[in-house]
Amino acid sequence: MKLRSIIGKFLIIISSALLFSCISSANSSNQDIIVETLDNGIPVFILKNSSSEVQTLNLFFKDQISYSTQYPEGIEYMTLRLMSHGSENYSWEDVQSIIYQKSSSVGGFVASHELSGFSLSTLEKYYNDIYDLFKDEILNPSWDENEFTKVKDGMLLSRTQSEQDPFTKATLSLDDIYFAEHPYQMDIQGTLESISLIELNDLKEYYNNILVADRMFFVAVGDFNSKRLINDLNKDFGQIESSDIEKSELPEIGMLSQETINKEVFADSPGVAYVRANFDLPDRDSGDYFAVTIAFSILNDLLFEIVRTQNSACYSVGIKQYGAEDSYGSMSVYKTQVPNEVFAMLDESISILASGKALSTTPDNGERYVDIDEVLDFHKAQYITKYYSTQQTNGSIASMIATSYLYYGDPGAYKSLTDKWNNVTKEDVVRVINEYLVNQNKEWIVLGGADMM
Amino acid sequence: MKKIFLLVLVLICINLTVFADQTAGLTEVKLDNGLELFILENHNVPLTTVQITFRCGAITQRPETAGLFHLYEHLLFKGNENHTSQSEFLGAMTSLGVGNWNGGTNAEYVTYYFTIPSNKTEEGLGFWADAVRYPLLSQEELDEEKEVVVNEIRGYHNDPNDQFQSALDSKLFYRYPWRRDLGGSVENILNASVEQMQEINNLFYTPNNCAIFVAGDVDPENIIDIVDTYFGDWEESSEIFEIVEPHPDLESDENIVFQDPSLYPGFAIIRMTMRGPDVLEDPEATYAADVLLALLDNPNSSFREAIFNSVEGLYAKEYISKGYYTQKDGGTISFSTFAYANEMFNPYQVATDFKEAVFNEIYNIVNDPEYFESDEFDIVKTILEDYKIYSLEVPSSFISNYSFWWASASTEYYQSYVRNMRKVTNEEIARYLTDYIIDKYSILSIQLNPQTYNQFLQDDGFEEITKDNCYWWQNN
Repeated sequence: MKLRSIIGKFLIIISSALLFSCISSANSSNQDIIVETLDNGIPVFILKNSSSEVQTLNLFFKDQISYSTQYPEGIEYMTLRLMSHGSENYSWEDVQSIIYQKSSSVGGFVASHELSGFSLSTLEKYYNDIYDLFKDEILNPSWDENEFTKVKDGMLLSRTQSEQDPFTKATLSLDDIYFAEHPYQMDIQGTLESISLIELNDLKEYYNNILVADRMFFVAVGDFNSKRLINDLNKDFGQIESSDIEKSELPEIGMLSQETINKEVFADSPGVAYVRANFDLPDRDSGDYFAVTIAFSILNDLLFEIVRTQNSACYSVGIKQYGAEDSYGSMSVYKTQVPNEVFAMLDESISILASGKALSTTPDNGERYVDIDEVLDFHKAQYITKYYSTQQTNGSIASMIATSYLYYGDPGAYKSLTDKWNNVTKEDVVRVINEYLVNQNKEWIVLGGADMM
Repeated sequence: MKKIFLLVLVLICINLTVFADQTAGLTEVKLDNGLELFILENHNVPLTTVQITFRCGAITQRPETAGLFHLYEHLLFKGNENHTSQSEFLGAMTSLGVGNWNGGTNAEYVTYYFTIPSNKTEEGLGFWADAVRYPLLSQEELDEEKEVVVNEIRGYHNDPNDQFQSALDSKLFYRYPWRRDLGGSVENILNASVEQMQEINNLFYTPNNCAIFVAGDVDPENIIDIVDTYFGDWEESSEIFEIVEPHPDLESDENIVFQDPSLYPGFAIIRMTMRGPDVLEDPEATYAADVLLALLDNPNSSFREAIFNSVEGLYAKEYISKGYYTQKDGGTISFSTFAYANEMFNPYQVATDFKEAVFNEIYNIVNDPEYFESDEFDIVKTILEDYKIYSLEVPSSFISNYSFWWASASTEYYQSYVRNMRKVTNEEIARYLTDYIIDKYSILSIQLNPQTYNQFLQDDGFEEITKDNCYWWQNN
């Protein structure tokens, strides 16, 4: 069938030079990460990426748990949010104006119990102006009373909304039970109670726990002049001192002594329930960590096949590995009308994998469940596809660098992780499923309408 | 010779002007059967996203088929002539190394996509060709999937946000509310037949109602050949769905109040919603609407300042916002704000005052030809240019957005968007406001936490929306 082209060949010839120069290069971000240190020991990691006009500079803070246990939950998040709301040289109105006019973003965030930060994202042409704002907000926050009220109200509104979503509520309730007496029980975005308790003076005091050199490291991704960047950062951040607070050792979550099912009625969810379980997993420095990743990819197919496809028992089902410093996992059934029946389906799925079988990629042609080796490479490829998907923006690459440094001590570690997944064997998969799912107790929650209990 | 030279020079200038609208790295092709193909080349990572979109969805529904386009979307994953069951279908995706995948039903389009390693692009396109061209639509699979969909929509029906939005849509689109309802009723889902699924397939899943978007580590010429191989002989339909009766304007003002447990006590969300320009009828006004949106987003805008200073009880200036949603037949304008709701500020009064203040300020915009200064327009133009840079950072995000514009407007509309937005002045904005806001009816809504709601005597002029009356099919 002959094609009919809309764009005339004449146009293409005239403009191909323009087009070609704009097409992204495959190799421009495959550079080595430049590692520098400021005068006070703060590490700086720079990845030069000239294929994008977007520049991102992130100041990360680690070890939140060591510094915040004496304060109400959510304090680090609230402090960072308020720092985003104005400084000595930029009122909140100025901040909003600059961000609007220069299509940029600047602000604080908390990503996990281990990592929080302050980031800027902008286009090259605006970098100097946005950097000035970024550093002033970090070094000279204005602690405006009106802005404090807005930030606090915003967190209360956000938390109320979270608690009204049944799946989020199930997660919050379960985490509270599962992490009892463990630092991860701390809600990094605060609870309604803890947020209400925080006053402005608490944030001013807590700020001294954020701006400490031994908590800090920078990650910059974009078309940066590394020499100039280091000069600027040294001038502005190179005199910050370290603290004498001892880093607390994170206790092991450990395996549970018994299996428990908690039930919670959620009045606004009649006819629908949400089921979730938490359990321990091997940490990142264990070889089993990567085996779990691939095992869960295979298990997700089985869960979907048995719970949803064969039994139509839910809208969605899945198992997930949380790669925190102390790694754990969760398994969820989302929107089910038969919460009592899904347990047997989950067990069936796990048993199949634990016996060395996986869902065939051609289940209607021969055996439905085949040897793991027949599908192992597909799941590795699948996971690696997802992995590359997380590296498409300078901001997401910066996150990869940060977590690589945090968990492996090497900012470029993320580049070699694909080898670890590719080395996983069938025996590894069977071993970890038996050890961490079959032979381990889990903490469950079933949340839904009263008719679902 | 001189004349030829001048002619060539003029042609070059024209082409460059046209080309300035084109997105760098984007190739656009149309097959003889009407299928449109858009390819965005980006080699940053070795991935390809394939997205395939059809112009249908809620907009093409009747009362008895509300929810069925969503059900059909689910059925597409349940098997086709090559992968004869859902298990086979998903197994094939696993063998392709699919990282992310999904389908989505929207008001004006239904779309399917996945991301794969770029060395699997040809197989990926072949996979989708089987799925969209040869679905099985079996009774057995339909019966099973009804249960899944019912689970899904029951969850939405329990969600206060969904309840409120559905009520708002039902009132705004009072004549054809099913044309905005993606999920439909449980009853419609349970009554769905294979014949209805087949009707959707015959009328809407045709090449001349379809576009394929491919983004990532690809060679456009190669993609064109592959698409021609798998889709070139797909027979086009002689009928294309057209909206016969565009949705009319509101015929009166309405006031509604909703108890929303997801809202923290002591606050209210106040919103004024009205019909806006539709791309079908008045594309020029849609550009003015978007420019006005960007102008009012300016933190220094005198619009926000004026309203905040004239209405007691509003929470903060930056929470006063205007919204405009571009649609083929369903454009919506809104003005909203957060407000206090306590012993000092009665939310019903604040809402009424807010509405009056918005209209007053709209009149000021219309009557003052210099309301927005030229540097404010310059800022908006720069922001639009900046947005284009960000939009190309993630290829899959670009084509997702492009897919929306293809369905609800056209790709020509999108490509000429910045150029047309640059032409908007105070005059065009005044015309837009005169045609769509001044002396037009609106829906004034208040959302309150139940605890806050009970502190105030409900105003007689406000109808209470509850989970028992929020959906149009509850009143049918």
